[in-house]
Amino acid sequence: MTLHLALLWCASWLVPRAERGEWLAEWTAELWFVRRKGGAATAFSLGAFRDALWLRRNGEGRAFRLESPGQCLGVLSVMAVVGALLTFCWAPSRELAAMYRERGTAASFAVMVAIALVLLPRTSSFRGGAYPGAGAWRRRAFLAGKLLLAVPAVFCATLIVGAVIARGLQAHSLIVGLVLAFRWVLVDQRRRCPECLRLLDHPMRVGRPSQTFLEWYGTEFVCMKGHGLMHVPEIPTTSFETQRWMRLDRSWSGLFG
Amino acid sequence: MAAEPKLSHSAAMVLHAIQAGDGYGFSVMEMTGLPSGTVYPAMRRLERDGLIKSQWEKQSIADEEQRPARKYYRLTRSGRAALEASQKRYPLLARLAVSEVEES
Repeated sequence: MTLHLALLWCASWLVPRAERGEWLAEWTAELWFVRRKGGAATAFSLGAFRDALWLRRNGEGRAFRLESPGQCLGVLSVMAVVGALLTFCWAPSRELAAMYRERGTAASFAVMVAIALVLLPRTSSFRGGAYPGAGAWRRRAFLAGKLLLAVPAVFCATLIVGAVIARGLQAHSLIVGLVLAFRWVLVDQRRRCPECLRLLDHPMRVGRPSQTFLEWYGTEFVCMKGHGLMHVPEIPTTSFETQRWMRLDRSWSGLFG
Repeated sequence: MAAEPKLSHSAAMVLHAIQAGDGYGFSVMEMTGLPSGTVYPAMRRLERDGLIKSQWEKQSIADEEQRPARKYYRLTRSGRAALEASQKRYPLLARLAVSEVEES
């Protein structure tokens, strides 16, 4: 087996099982033609990983997407309510919550949030993006809503973890949970249309790393409602520091419907 | 009536290359200059959205020419409509095919 076939074989394990055989047959056949034409077989084979990942993420078992802002806030509300109900209906976690309440741990909780905020930039950028012409208040309200719902959901979840495994684990799991929750909130916010707040779709890679100095290199997303395109740079540069929103006017309606 | 398909510029390029070229992944790569990691996921998306259809060629044809059978893609009716709409929006798309013909 050659290196290129080995790369394709490795990538094929990312493809859902039902589609794996056909996927590998297509890539193997295409590789034969690439080699015959003297093309860059290694670069070609490495692209198979991106294709395989796409199929993994968008195949039949596609991950549940919180498409609309209502769905997103709804699911977070359910998580917060279910978490609170479980915490206060289940004796061990209720006792743990009561113990924290007696000790007056509001200050400790604030410290945990502060630690999570200090750790957060290591996992995700705080930069929101440049959104000319898009209203900011809705975006900010949505962000605040997600944060207000995510924090109690995480807190309740960590109380349950603390009661189930060990009480001492609650503080640590709270920091980890808050970092993950804040990160998700920021990433989710950046992947939404700044006008309708629905998740952007159809990601398309544009450019190559070697062309970074000549033109921008990154991913382009489109709003399914046709509000515009989001350009996300792969590497922030002085000319393209953060993601940019390109609003599409009514003249585009024929294309977007 | 179903909503018009949504196409980014790169997706429109891929769609155009499928129609103007030989209709397989490597030919799309050659025409557009896009890497394989962009072209194939784009074709999967277009197929998922019903803009293109794929079909394996007959094994007997490939055997005759002593090569592996390949998968061909072609535009569906809605794919052709989407391409027509995007050609109005991106007039330079048409030059993609012209430059390819001139080179060959």
